[in-house]
Amino acid sequence: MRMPAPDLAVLDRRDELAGRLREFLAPAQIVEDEAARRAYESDGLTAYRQLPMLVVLPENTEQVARVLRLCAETGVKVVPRGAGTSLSGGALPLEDGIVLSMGKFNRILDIDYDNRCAVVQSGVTNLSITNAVKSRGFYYAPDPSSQIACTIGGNVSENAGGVHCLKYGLTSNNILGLELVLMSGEVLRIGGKHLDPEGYDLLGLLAGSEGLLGVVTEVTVRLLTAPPAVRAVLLGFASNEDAGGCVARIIGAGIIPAGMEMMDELAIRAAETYSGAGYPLDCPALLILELDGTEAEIDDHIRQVKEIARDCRARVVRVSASDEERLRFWMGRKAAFPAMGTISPDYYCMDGTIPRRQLPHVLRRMAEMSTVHGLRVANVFHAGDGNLHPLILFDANRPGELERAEQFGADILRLCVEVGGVLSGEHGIGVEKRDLMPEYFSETDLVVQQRLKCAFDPDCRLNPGKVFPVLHRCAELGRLHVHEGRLPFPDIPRF
Amino acid sequence: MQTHFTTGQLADSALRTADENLRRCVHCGFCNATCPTFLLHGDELEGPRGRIYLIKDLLETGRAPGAEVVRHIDSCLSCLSCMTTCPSGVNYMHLVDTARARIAATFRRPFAEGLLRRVLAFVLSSARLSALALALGRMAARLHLPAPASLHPALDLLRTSPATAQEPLREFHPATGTARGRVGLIAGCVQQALDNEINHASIRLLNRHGFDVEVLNGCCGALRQHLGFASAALGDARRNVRRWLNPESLSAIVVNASGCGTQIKDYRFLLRDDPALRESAAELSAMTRDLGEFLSALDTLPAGEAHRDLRVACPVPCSLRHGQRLGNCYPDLLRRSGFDVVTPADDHLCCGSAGTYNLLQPDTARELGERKAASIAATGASVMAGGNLGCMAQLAPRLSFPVTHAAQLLDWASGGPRPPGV
Amino acid sequence: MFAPENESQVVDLLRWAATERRAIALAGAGTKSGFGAAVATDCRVSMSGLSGILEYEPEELVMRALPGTPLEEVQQALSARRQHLAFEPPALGAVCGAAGSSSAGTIGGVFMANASGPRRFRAGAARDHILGVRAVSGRGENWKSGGRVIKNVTGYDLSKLLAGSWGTLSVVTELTFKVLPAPPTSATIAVTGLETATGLELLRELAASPFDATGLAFLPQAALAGLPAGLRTSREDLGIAFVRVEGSPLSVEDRLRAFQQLTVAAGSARRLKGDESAALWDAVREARPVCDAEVIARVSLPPAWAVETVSQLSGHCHWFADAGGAWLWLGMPAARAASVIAGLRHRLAGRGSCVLWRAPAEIKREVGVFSPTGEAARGIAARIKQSFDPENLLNPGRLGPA
Repeated sequence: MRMPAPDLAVLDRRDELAGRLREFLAPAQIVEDEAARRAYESDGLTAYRQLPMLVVLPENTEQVARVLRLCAETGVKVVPRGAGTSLSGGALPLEDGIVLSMGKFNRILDIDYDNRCAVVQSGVTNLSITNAVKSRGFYYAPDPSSQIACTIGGNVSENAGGVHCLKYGLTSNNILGLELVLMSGEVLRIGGKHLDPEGYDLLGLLAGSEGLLGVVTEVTVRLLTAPPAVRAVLLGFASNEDAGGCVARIIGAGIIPAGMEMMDELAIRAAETYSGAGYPLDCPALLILELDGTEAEIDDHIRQVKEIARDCRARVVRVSASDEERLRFWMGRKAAFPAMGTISPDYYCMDGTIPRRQLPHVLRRMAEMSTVHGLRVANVFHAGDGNLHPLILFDANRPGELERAEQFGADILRLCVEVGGVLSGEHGIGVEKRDLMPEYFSETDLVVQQRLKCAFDPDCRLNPGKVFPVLHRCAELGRLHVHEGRLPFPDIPRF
Repeated sequence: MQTHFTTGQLADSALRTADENLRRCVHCGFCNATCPTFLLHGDELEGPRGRIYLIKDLLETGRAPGAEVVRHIDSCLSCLSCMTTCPSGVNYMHLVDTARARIAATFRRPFAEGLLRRVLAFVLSSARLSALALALGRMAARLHLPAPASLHPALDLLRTSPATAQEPLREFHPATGTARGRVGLIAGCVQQALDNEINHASIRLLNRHGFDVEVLNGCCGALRQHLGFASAALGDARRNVRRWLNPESLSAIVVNASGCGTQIKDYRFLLRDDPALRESAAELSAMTRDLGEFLSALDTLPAGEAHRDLRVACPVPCSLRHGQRLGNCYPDLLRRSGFDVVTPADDHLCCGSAGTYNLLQPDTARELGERKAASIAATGASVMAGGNLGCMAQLAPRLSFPVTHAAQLLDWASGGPRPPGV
Repeated sequence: MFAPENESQVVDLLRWAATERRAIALAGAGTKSGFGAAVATDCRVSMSGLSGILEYEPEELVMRALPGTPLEEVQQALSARRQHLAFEPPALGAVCGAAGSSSAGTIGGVFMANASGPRRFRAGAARDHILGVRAVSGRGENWKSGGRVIKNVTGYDLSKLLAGSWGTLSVVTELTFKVLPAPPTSATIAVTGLETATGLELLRELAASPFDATGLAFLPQAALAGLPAGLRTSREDLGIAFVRVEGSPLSVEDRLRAFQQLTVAAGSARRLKGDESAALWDAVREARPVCDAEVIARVSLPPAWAVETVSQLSGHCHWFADAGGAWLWLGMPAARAASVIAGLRHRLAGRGSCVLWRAPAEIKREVGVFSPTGEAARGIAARIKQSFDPENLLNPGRLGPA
């Protein structure tokens, strides 16, 4: 994975930089020792590793601002890092850059039940927000499966979703404000506890900006009231087509479930072996729905869902009779990823979104690709919103398999784009999908986005080498006019 | 994760096991979320995922570790909360102990630090030496003799806790009435010196349930294991397997200090390469039960009234909750006997005792101890029930109400004496 | 006056404007042209020529349309398949001063103005439903962002950036947005005889209940004037809290009962008749209680602050609360309006927004259409504008001084 070439002059001044950092940071906040820095060389995408020049752990916004200002002055690149759970290499360090770990920003600052929001530091984990408010009957809706560990700052960077996002929205629909430090050291406060901030929708822009526009230090999140009742329905089908058809008809009937997940044969088998959740093994496709609301409402929806399921030739129809049973329905699905670890030494989790009705077609094409690449693939699908997670199984200790897995993955993403979907649903582009961006965007599209980056970070010091495959210098971009998709200066540095 | 061990390295049993564990780890980071030191510091190096990464690097390169790496491994509590959380089944306990053994073998510690660790391992593994050390410590505390800062919490505890005479155990304690079986009870080392009443209460309980109790002496080796003195710990395991295993007469080996229980249950793994003792070790581990675990399988004894509805906070020791996956035994047992049991919030987080951790890492131990004490106090309980001596010693000076072992409460409920202070 | 008919004409137009340095005023149906500061332009561009629904897949919950498509056309197509725009877009033509315009506006205008109605606090605003755009920048470049799916983190979310940008960043030539099943039935209860503080508190409390109200508004006596006769209070200092519940008939009855129980302590509640309910929410959506005022502002604030904020308003300021108390619409005469607005913004101190939807030009100049912001925020906004439209050709100055 090619990254921007390191600036040797910066590397030479490493000790000087550490000295200047020590002027306002405690020794435990700067990691210099090489063996220790190794722990930060990768995030959740362990195939890619890069030892950073230094790791810095600020404790408050002022320190973040000083660090960024210092880096801006001395020409040092910065890679922000939350919990390091990114699956796209979003926190992959740079050889001549610092990793700015937000791990110490772990306090919940204010829970405002009256205004149904909470103000938290960006290093607070997603689940701990819900845990802090659930005794009062509230929760924070976006629930990515890594929610026990991932941070809200990271959620903002990737516009995280989760099982419940069809009904309750993504991160960008659930935040009211944030505090951002720009690469210049300026601190920006956007929004607050109110619904409609004035001016350009910076909250919308920053959600999903993958750490390229600024460092998030604080987030104000919306709290929702927990619904009076929740039940789950487990449906087993003879084919992916039947399952997909059922999904379409449920939505067509005007029902928006709180969650709707699908698993294919290999995923079901692995999940069942690992977790013993009780999944029927004779159904090649499984659909798990979650319905919430009042009891009467749920009863009504369940009645409709059962009817539709029977029409779609469901072989198995189970409705949870207790909260314990509901959680058991979900147990296997939630264990799907680690379950892969039991049937294969390594797996590569892909992330693309497709129009829902394309799923059977995409699964068939993937089965063909699986034969071509010689690697198995299991599928977990957010049927609610079309986000697909193919899990490509391989063994990194066997030469060439990692490369084949990546090629398989890239082919799957191209297929997603081909059928009208997108390259990434929730994991982000990071480094993993960076070089596929031209499959989705024209040159102009990419230039427009990069010009926007220049508005926030004109020297491109924040997280360079992520998301965009070509680095343009902002001065050039300003003058650039992309005519009919062609750039006038083909010799601008690429990497 | 991908690992880079040579075939030569993989010929070594410990490295082979390490490789298996490292390959199970997918670097997901879930373990960090429940790690007490990660919670305090927010630093990858102070969480299990980072430590696993450091250990991988250490073992793969085969070099001696630097001070920085040692610092981060030393700061690990071995509470094993990460193992409970890990979705991939990484045995972190084995990894960190392998790393500790490597550190002990290759890293030159500052003299005083090294000496302290060796002295602790030596003294605390013997009941007699522990008693002697405690007596000396009490004297030093009362006289306010100068001592290294790390020993201050221990000296404070000794200064304030009553020096009660510890009634020694007999070798054999017969069942009350007809015996339905015979079990061995691990008497422990520090426990006999600091609070032997725990053992007496455990024996009375077992007797009342109809079991003859044979007292088994000898250090389980946990302290040595966790300090990195691997061959000494292995020696303890071998000795105990030879001395304790008596399948004809003993139907179970019962342990009332969960830290020891975890170690003994792991003898199966520790002696897996020993052709002479491999099977016996497996047998011994298989018949080992935590006291709470053992009692849970029996009927509840008829209970008195004096203790009814007493609110008891029951924080489960990490070695029991995470090490042995027995988080519910003591709370359920106490409830069945009529106590009003409450679990403190965030009970998966360690109190900071962790063997000798509270002596070697006083700052972190104090922070965690204060947090734990606060969460226990917040339950509104009037007494705390512990399952491991270490937690009890760590929390007693920080709580305004008595701390006792769950066995003592259960003993009291079924006819035994009221525990001191309650 | 230009009226392009397709994207490529828009591109040509903007390239010409860029070369010739011609400033452009953009409009759809012109319903909201009165919003914002006066725009000094050389030509006007109407987007009504780019009209039509390009794609509509009800089961995929997605629609793709050209910006000039009348909102009514979109809504008709949706209701034929029992779906709707969950954010309940208002036209706000009367508010912006386009009196006499019967048009509900265009879909492009809806998103460019982030026009959202009473259901906003439950279902999100317009910007929460936009999925993708095609647009032409002030440099004459045509670009796209987003797609047709909800889960999408492929590049920056420029669709959201454009929502609510009032045409100052790019000219949108195509929009893809999320549509949802329309609730089969709806019912509203009116809780009458409430003092302001009680009424606003009630809105807040009900918004926090688990029974999913989709409309929560409080109208003081003065605001009830234009509504059907049955909606009145006995005293000047009392008002009515309205609670709307939508869904299947079974669900609606169930939840309505729950709300009736919750409101029993506050005041007497009655269920509105169908036409009363329709008239009410129509009026609330279009801010009719204040739309005759010379100066109209909308405050968006943390709901718990509504009581205090309203208590500080002077008597000649008409108002009503919507969106669970998160919105306060204000109407007042021009005299002293500037100081009222300035005072409000000062007290909110950036922790709430206060936007001038209508005012005479001098007042807009004096206090600004939007609240003042800090230097860092101004800098970012200016640089964002600069990146899309360096020559400041698109609706220049509409959102305030550059």
